[in-house]
Amino acid sequence: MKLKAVINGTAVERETDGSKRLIDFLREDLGLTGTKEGCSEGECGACTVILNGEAVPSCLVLAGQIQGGEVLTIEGLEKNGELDLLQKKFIAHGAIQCGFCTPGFLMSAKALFMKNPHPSSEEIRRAIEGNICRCTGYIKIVEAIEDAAKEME
Amino acid sequence: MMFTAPADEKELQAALDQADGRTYLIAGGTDLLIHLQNRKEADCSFIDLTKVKEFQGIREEKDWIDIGSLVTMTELCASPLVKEELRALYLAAYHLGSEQIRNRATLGGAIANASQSSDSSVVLFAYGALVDIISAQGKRRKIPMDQFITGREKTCLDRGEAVSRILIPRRKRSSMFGKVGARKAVTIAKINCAMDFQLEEGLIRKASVYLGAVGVKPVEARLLENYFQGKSFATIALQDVQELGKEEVEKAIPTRPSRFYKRVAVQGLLEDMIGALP
Repeated sequence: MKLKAVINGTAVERETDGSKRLIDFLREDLGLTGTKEGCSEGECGACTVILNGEAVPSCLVLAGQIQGGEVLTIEGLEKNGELDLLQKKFIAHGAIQCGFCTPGFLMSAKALFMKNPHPSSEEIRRAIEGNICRCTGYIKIVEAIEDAAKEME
Repeated sequence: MMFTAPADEKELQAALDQADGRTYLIAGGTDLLIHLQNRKEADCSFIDLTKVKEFQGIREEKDWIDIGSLVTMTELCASPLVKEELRALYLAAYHLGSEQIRNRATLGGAIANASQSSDSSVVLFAYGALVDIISAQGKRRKIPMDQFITGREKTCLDRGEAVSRILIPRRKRSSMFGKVGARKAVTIAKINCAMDFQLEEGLIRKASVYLGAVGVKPVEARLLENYFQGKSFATIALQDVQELGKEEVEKAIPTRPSRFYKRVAVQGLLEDMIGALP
């Protein structure tokens, strides 16, 4: 099928198999390998991307389902060589260790900020409850997001 | 592999007409794609329902709250109508999976997959919801929820049929949902329960109570229903309710090894739910 969507702000038109998974379309067709595959069943959050303003597990969405829609991946966070505020805060707080879960956490946090620029600690925890990190113990991740929220006030 | 995304019921009927045994209807995909991976199924075709316009949105009718099969858990949580009038459904949607899953998982998908531990199914059983089904020929039928799900992951849907909407009878009610899982968030119910009370002058005129994950489909808890009838929320005695809850679990799963856990778990669950009643 001819797939038309806006990916990271750019209109993309590709001939592809609509029944492949969105994560495979992003990584293999578009070379956007920042989105990581963890559990492949929507439990770990590593493959989280933002589809039409909402965080979704890209391993459980079919490429064809994004037709006419808008997708934001980790590659779309940086603007003109400058990292997103969330990325800067993750670095500053040491919220990144091995880094595999980081794109997913950042996209979950970004989706939260897009809907709710001033989230409470509870809302932050709820937004990332679908993301698993085996290194940090989560505290630094929550602190990084809280700090970013504070700075946006 | 084939992928088609009908924009309305008419296009959907044409797609359903071409469907064969390897054609799957997909909405949020949060159950289906995992099932297909586990079964290592390849070469299947998909009909993507997410664009069908007649299956969207929540409608407020005089006698019904009419919920499109494509309405996601996130949309249910965001609806003031659901939050106010359908408390049990709101709670089930609020506590389902993670943010990412709630953004994709649909009410229609939850019932069509008929998982035995489904949170929304047990609520729709308690509400006595009707499932509106459309066929490839454009024929419609409305099936009560307790007849729609026929067994473990089994429904009365025939090939070439799709769930279009879910109708919940509207009345003066108070409803409650609770579940027990292995962890606080992102948890699949080990046991869940929905209660729907029809109230008249502060008294429970009729109670509909279902327990989930204690059988292949939600089980009606008649002992509890009879107990509640005629009482007010203030006169419910927790210990009596817990005792009856234990009996219900024994009755539902007399031989399953999990009965030892679940007949205790149900008491904590009922304590949570009764404590949360207005």
